[in-house]
Amino acid sequence: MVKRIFLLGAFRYWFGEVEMIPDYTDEELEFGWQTTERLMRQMVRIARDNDVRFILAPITDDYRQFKRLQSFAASNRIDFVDTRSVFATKWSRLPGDGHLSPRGAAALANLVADHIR
Amino acid sequence: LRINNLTLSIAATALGLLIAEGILRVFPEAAGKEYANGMLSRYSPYPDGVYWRWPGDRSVVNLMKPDYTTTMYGNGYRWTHQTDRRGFRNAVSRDRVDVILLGDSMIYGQGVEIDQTVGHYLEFRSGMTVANLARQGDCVYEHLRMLGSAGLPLRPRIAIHFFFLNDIRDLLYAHPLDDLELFLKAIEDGAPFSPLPEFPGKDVEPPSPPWSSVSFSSALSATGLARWK
Repeated sequence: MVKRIFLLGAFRYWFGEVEMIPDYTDEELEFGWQTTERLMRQMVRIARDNDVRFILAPITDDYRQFKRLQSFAASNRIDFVDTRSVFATKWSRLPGDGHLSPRGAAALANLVADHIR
Repeated sequence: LRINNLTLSIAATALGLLIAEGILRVFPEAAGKEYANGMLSRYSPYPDGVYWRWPGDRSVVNLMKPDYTTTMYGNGYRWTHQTDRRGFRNAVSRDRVDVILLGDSMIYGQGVEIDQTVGHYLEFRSGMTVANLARQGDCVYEHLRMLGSAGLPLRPRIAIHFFFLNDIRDLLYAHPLDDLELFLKAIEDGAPFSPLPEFPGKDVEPPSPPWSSVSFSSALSATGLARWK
């Protein structure tokens, strides 16, 4: 049972209470990348300290992002799974949503399972 | 006659509002995708939401309520959300696993049932035990924290990090940069991770007045930002 008052929500929505996605500058995005890479290095370090095999499997159809992650993985000796074959297909995503469809999830799992064997 | 007219006007207005409320409840998508997501989403720390907040944590890390089952909604899709005793989307609670998965809503499995997620298929395909530690809206900051606080105690042999294309923007959007810097410096200096806190029950949940427990954004799509601040 939904306890919310839909009409009140509608007024808030119609009067503009919608979160806007910030438009980050290239400098801000670069800072985000550098912080992300520092965070990832710590993930790798902690995994290695605990004898855990660490695998990076990027989910992106942005070529520049993919190349940056691939290069980061190579320079930090991180096991890397190329998942582009899954995300190049339309059927891998739920229509109108973009998240993984059941078929897309199965294809990604197969790719990863083949890699970790 | 004037009183009768006034009564009639009030009754007609009340009836109109009730009808409008009814229509919006039955057809929320008619008012827009973001509206339906905002009204029907359970990605919130309110009593009907799936999250609760890591106590005393300045960086607003959401945790999912443990042993919790509800119906979720996002972008026209409905699915059953169910969590294990640690608050992750796994059908079985395990103390030890072979593989842990770190990621966001793509790996959590937004829009699909638990037996249609990457974790489920990977367990079936690899023959290994898998724990899905992914949550909607997570970025690399949460992935690192989940690895340290929830993943390592499961003594996995393999950790798979699924970086998603919106992780950079999620990081900038959802976390105060000063707090991130403090956290990173502490971890780089070898500070230990705090263990996953125990869910204390309903008492910690913020109150939920009907006008403040919803938030509208295009955040629930896999290309937008997905975060409750």
